[in-house]
Amino acid sequence: MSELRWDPVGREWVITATHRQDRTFKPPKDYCPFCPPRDDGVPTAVTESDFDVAVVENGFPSLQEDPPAPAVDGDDLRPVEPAKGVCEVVLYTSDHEAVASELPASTFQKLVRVWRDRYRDLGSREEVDYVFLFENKGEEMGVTLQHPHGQIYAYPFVPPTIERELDSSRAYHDEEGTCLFCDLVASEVAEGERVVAENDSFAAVVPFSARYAYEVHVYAKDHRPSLDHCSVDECRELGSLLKRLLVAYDSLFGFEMPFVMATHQQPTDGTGAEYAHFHLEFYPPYRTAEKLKYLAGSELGAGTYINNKLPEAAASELAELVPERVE
Amino acid sequence: MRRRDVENENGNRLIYYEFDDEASGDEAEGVELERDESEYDDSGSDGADV
Ligand SMILES: [Zn+2]
Ligand SMILES: [Zn+2]
Ligand SMILES: [Zn+2]
Repeated sequence: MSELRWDPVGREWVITATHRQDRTFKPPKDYCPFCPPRDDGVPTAVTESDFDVAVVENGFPSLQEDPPAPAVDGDDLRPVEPAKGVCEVVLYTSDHEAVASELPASTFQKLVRVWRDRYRDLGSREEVDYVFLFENKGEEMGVTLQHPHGQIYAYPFVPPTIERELDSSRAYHDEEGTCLFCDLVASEVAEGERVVAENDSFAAVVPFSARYAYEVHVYAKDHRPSLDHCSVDECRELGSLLKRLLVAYDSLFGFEMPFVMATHQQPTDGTGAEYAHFHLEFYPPYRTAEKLKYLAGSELGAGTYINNKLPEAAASELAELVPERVE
Repeated sequence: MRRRDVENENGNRLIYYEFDDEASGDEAEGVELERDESEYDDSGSDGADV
């Protein structure tokens, strides 16, 4: 069963996907569905023993190219739609044990170019309005499979977090005639206080109003509505910067930092060229080596985040740990 | 960058991205080689989980 149910109060779609209850939970390496095929003849999602970066359809998709009919009928107040879309898994490496921050910079550069291809490819589909590239990393984030991987959801609508950003950026563009994100990143780079790392094309900063202690956003320095607008060289620069950031994250507390990584960029419904601006956002749940940040009453019930860390202090701690160069 | 579209044992779309040593610089991308129409067959999806 899967369908989209409209919440007329929150003004957002909720995906009901009951078949996902049955998915594989933390299998040992011998049963990893993303590892190359094994001798036991049990098929995995991949067919080759070694690969650079591979993308496979999600076997338990929340959104489907050919979705089933909804389980319930909607009405005018509460519309229901089929959960049409695409869910893919991006395998960063064929090595199950790989630690992402130890992968070569070239792997990150390849990954960014794969993201760009998936954005183009999935975004060109009529039914897809938004291509969301993301990663849930670490058991703390509910990850059930250790094999280094990220995900792609191609939604038939623009999801609310992205829509809210675009509404702000559109209004700002109407008033000021410039892109909100371009102005933000330029001022962060000029001030420097919250900059974690940068190169010619991208800057990683702890946002002024960070919601998580070590939240980092990575922005294109020039106006790039989406990855589709980034050159191969810019993709490489982004890859190198991501590797540097991950090295810093993993050295902060001496363990592999869990996080949710989200990419925000131009919807693929044709809107937003002037005011959408490609960036990534990282939300690590740890506020100290031992303490996790839980979303609770104020965050979940009221939508107001409480951050126990000064963003400027978090930025300088992370900046200290960012290597100048990576191979 | 080259793209190779195949189908896995579960009948799901599987894409390998391959990178030869390339000189720096921009190139036209997104054009795939060896593309096979059967890749979009979406039957029997109970393989990979996330
Ligand atoms: Zn594996
Ligand atoms: Zn911009
Ligand atoms: Zn954003």
